[in-house]
Amino acid sequence: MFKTGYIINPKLDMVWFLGLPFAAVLAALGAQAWLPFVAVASINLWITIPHHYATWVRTYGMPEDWIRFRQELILGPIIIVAMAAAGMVWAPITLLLIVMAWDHQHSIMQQHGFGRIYDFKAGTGMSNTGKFDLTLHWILYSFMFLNAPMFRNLWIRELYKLEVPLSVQFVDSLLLASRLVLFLFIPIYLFHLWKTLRNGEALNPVKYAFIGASYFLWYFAAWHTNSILLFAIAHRLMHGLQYIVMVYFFLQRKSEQGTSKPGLWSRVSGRGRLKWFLIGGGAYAIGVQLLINRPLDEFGFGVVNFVSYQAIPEFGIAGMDYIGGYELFAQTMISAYALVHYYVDSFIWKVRDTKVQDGL
Amino acid sequence: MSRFRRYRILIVVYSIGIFVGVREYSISQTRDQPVDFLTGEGSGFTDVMMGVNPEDPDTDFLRAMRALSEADEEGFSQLLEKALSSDIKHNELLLQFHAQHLLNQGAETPEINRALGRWHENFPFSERVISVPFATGPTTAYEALLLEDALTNIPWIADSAFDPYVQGSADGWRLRLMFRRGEEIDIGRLTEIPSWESLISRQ
Repeated sequence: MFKTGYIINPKLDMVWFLGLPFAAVLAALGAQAWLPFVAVASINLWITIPHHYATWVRTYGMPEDWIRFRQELILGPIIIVAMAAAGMVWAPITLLLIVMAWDHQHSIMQQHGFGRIYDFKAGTGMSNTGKFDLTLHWILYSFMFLNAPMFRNLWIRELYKLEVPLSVQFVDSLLLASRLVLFLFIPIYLFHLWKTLRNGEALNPVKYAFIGASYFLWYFAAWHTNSILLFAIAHRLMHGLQYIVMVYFFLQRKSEQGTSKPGLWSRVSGRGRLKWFLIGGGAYAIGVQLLINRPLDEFGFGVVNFVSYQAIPEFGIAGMDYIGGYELFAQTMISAYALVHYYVDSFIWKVRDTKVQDGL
Repeated sequence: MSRFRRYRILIVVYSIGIFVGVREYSISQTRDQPVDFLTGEGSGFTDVMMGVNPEDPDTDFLRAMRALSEADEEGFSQLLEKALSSDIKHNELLLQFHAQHLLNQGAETPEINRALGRWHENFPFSERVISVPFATGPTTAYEALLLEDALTNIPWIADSAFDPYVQGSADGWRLRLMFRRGEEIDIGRLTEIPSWESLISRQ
């Protein structure tokens, strides 16, 4: 009846795919309570932008995928950048709507994709289980998008901008329809599970635990509060971290198989190379931030930044402005580099060391 | 067919995008500004949100703005306070309006400072401005220069513009201020003085 299979292994799946959504909600609740709204931008820099980097490593940095998808990888970005530029000039609201709508579809597809991996690894489900799962995801997510107060505000406002005014009655009817669809589909999905078992196929309980954990995060964050901050942080943590973990372990397995042509991917993945993968993601985020001319303070969750300290007249200490704060930071870094140089030189140049003697 | 399969997501996304974009573009040709939900123009939206999201602090904000447009100052203050009591952090317009409202009402300096601090703590990189009213303004270029110099000595002011509410009129001036991030805001340096001339003489 049940067969288990894991994306990575039981322990790591428990951390990254089953436990992470709950930890992300806790982190987001903490951020909601103690951090300013700029924390969303910080999460974006620490998680979301590096998760894009993981995509670039997998596609443009892996000869195998580059050769397979070369046409899409060249033409796709050209079309997307051109359309984004056109949107910025002629229809900025539409561009924003596309980014938002595609983001939601992408989120659904990622969790669906992980679910497919669970079935693939366990050898569970029937040939049409994927379609049932995808429909389930669309219905559950759309239900949340239409019904959660936080999202309602968003889509009703955007429709008003496009001069598609809605009445309260129409919105209520739409919400009722979404509830009907949900309540009709759940028995259909359960019937599919029953049919799967009757056909002698097994179910992977870990997949359902994973889907449950994902929707716990989304539903909790969407209904628990009206704060966009909570949803944005919890969702970005789950989506970004799970993606980064998935890409890393995919590349690691490819590396262990040793059949794929080396490239950038093989320099940042495989045993002992996790640090390079993470450093690459961090460097990419810094590069993007500098490219779009946004302050590096955004990494600091509104807590760590180059803000000034105020004057303390009692001690004769003058206040410091932002530029002064940044200069202090820059000087600290220069001094710190020097100190690291002094420290390292204190042990790498011992002439009594035979390893050093070999190089002399 | 295989080519369609490769690009189908782009085709679907941009087919919808072009359809919506043409709609947006045609609307933009008939209006100077997009719909402003905070004025009477957005009244329909406020009605719908009151019907579907009555408990949402963003709805309280919309209701507050409606009250303001109907000259109901008390209703505006109550609704704004209600929205703020939910510890709302994501609505920058609300935080900005709150600070501006306190300033317009002549609230106590610490209260205005708290509101400005709350706004800039959540949006430290905001480029939105706030207006401080003055009865009169500088009449000569030299006076304007002195005023500008006085303002540059206030650490939390990143940029400023001093102009009459109605161009060409001498009645009612406003000082529009942009904030420098990382600086503690003390609006008292502007509001606890009787006129813009006093601001210069205080330097």
